[in-house]
Amino acid sequence: MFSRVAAIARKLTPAVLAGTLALIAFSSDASASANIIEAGAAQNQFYIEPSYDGTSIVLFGAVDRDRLKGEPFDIAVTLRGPVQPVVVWKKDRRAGLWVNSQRLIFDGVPNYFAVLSTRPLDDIAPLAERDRYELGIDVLSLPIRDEQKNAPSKLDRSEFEAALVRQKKAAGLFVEEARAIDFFGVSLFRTKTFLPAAAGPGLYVAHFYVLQGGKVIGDATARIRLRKIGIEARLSSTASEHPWLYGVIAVALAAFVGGATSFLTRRT
Amino acid sequence: MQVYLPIAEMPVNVLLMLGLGGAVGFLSGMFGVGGGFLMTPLLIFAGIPSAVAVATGANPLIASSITGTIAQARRKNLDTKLGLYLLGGGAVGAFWGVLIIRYLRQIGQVDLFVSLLYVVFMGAVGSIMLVESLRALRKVRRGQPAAKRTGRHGWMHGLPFKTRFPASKLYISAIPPVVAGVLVGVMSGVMGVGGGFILVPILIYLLHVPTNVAVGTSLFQIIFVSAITTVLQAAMNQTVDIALALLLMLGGAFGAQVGAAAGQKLRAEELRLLLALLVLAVGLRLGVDLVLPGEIFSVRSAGF
Repeated sequence: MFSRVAAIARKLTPAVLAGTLALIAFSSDASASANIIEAGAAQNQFYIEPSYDGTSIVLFGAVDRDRLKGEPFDIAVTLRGPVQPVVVWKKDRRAGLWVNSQRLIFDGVPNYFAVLSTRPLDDIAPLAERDRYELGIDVLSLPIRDEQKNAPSKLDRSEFEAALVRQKKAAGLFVEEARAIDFFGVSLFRTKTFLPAAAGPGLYVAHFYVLQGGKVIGDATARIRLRKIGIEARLSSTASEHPWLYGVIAVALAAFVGGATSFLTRRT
Repeated sequence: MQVYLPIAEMPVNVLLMLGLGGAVGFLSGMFGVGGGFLMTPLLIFAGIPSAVAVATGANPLIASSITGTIAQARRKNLDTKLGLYLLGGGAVGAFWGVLIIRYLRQIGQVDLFVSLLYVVFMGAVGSIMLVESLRALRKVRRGQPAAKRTGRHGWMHGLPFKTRFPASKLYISAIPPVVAGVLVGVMSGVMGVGGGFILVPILIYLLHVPTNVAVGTSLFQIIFVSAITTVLQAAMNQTVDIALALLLMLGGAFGAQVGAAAGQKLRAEELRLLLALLVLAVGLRLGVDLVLPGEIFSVRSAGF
């Protein structure tokens, strides 16, 4: 149902979108089995073309007001990109030179992580609850690879993690934004985040949470895929599937450009 | 104007990359160094991931060194025979260089070793050239002719396998060119560069090849070294970005023409002085990073 809604939503103004959603979420099926929150992405597929320079991602959803019993509630949305291993090196001064001395390998670092919420995260839920659902960059789990040579002691690891988070934040790849959820009417909400071009292709998963009294009482999920198409896709698949051929093409292309330049300048 | 690079997986400014390629191409045409020693650091400085920068740096050098070699050959500044001797040694050396790099990667000190090599070699080569070219320029200014190379008999002339290199007006043993080739090959395997900035001074000061011929012959050698490097990098690491390379080589192709013409207008001594200053500047810049790093922590994708 939501893919259809999303397809329509792309073309509609927020107001019309709100009306359509309200209709779908509550008019037909308001039985006890209905979810307390339903949500989706305005667009599920994004394509990387030569002109790609990051993209805005619009997420929306609706809450069942009846089941919230008129009590105040909060919405928190996390969006996370594909995970990859990351190495953090620390330099030390040895004989006057700054040398890479210690490193820590993190096994699953999302290349993009955003937390969008109605209010500051600390006001929404206690630390234990936030930790459970990874609501916040400070509670994002960054597992460390076992059995590492030259790894820093447990005590020193926090500064490696802090350095990783600091650099990710500076690149706009770790984002935390309170008051980022816009409501239309009483039950419909929408939120938006910017995915920088440095957050590469892959599967992005959005988790939507409804919180009441500091507890998560309902959740929903949406998936967004970012992939290369056209020349971008062809080049990167050739590079990984036929690496020798790719290398020869790279050389041939360079030889052609070099030869052509000589030919052209000889004529003039 | 931005374009998204398929392998580096990031957008870059088209004009910036064309300009970067053009600047390196200009130097390549002017000095006969491939410019690899400048290309890779500049790409990293522009925010390209280091794995992609190292692998892609050699690719546009093929184009600019072909253009440069043809331009130099038209001016009879190419010693093909000497170039082939250098290449023979270079192929063996490059293979050793790759083995050395693999060992360093195992012990985890590639970055430090490569930086130190750059600093030491560029410092030494740059200083020697600076002193020599200043001395030569002072002589010229006093009205004396620049030192003639003919009739010199060092220990190298006692070596066997004497061969004639007519384009360089030399009759020397084949051993020094091959050994020089091996040395430069090792350097290019380890440092990921064509090795021109080491080869040109070796040809000029040790083998006494005329400066202009040294420039042309070095470019000739760099075509092949950078072609081999590109294919190996694509095959082993899959981090050669053709789109990035194309931008760099389009800028570089024209830069090399302008550079070759500019090089022809300058005195050989002035050319050497400028190259010396450039080599020293890059060496110094890299040295500063070793002594005063901006950020103690570096974050890198472990996949690269």
